Amino acid sequence: MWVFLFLVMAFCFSFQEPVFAEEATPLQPLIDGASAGDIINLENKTYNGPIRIDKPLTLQGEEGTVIEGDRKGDVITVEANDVTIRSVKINQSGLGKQHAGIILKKVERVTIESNTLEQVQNGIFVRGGRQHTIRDNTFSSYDEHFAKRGNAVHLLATKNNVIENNKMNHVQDGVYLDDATDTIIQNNRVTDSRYALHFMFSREAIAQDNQFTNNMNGIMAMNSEDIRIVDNLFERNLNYRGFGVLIYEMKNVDFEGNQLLYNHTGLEIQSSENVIVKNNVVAGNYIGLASKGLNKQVVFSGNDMAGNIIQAKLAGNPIALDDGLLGNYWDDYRSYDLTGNGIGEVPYEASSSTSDLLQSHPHLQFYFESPAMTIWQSVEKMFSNLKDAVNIDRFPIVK
Amino acid sequence: MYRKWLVAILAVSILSGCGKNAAFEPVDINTDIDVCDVCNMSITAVNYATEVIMKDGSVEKFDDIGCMVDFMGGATKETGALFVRDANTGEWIEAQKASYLLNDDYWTPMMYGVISFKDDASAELFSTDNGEGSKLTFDEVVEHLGEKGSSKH
Repeated sequence: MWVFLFLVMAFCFSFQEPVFAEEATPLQPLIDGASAGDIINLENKTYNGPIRIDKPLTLQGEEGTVIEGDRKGDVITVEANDVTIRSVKINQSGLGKQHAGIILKKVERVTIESNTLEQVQNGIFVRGGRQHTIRDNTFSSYDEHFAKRGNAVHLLATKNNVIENNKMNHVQDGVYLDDATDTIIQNNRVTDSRYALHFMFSREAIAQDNQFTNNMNGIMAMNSEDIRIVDNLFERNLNYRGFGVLIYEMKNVDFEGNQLLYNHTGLEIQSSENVIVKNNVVAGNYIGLASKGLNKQVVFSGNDMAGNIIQAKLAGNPIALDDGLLGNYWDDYRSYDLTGNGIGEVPYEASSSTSDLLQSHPHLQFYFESPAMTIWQSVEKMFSNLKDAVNIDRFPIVK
Repeated sequence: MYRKWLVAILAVSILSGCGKNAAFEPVDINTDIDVCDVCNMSITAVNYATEVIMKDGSVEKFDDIGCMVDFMGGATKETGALFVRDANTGEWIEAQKASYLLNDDYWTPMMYGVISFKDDASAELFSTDNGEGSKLTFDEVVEHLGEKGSSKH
């Protein structure tokens, strides 16, 4: 019996052909053979990278087209203007810090759309140059801790770029802007990463209609100026040192119409100048608004502050919590609007003994919104003593 | 007789213990939670991290040596020891004993462009791959970064 079984198995194994992946096709010869302006239509198969594109042309894939790197360097290097890369899957870049699925080297007007970049260190690395469009792509990095992953899109010393409708998941930073000028970032979705957007030494950018969830920070904005952040959603950025948005050493920031929901800290403003924060919803965060250091010309008005365990944690110099006519809605404000103009008659004091207590004894959060805490807060408001309150809203909104 | 030796050994070990900074050891970086105590950035480029151990035992961590120099300028507590890492290996070194390279084109987390090494050989290895930098001592690093501030561009 055993001999018979052995013979059967031996027979099976001897005829078991090793299964090879379909032979990959080298892609570089196709590019070398093309003329400037050509459209190269790629088939439903795997092409071998790395490749170098040194003339204007379009690489267009179909369902199942893959361009595979050798895990040593960049997969696609673009060294010509007016190149388009569309509808391909790009993978297997090197693991080194700067390696990328696609690298643009000092070129202009490159369009990268509807591609999938996965198992790459960085997705797209833009070095110098201008006027690129990066849209409708899907990005993810190697399956490593975020400290070892690269960025979905890394902009270095480049200008006039548009990044829209992309999905970025499991990367280090979604879009990292270093010395970037005039960048439009809209309708992107960044999840499970370190920072969704990371500004460093950049200027003139608009971030609008993006959704940033489950990252360490939604936006890490550092040392940049003239940045508009409007109509974005920052949700569940819950790392205990994480922020919906952190504005650090920034100048001229317009922050309007955003939703900051269920983050550790919703918005923090630190050592910045001319920051306008208007008409945002800041709700369900552990800390709603925080400030630190020397801030100049910060205006905070028309915002909805609701359901935050600590509404405001304001250190450093005082910041204005109204714009001179209008303040904010604070859900822990207890007073009356006797004149019927929608503004409470008693100023709102942003730091209270309850929030101080919660900061020094976090375990007391257990009593958040309990009857005892509510009574305490009411009593505190009734006997409020505004003499040393530096952060007050003189025109709190009553709903 | 034995007691005499015992006392002598004890005295020697205590005295030699005092001579060193044995109490001040660098602490591991935890990339999940550690952020720079100056600029708030998470510490992901771990070989560029630096640390100041205070005399009271508390530890300040930084993502870039420039942030450490910034912190030293306004430090309110007495410092016990300063540590930097060898950029190639991640080995912790006392800041005064390390070699440094400066090149504004080197990438560092906060773009200060100063990188630390355990010795000159390690620095040379780095400059072969990343371009030449000017060699600095720790005091020169402090002087340079103190003047420079945090803006690169």
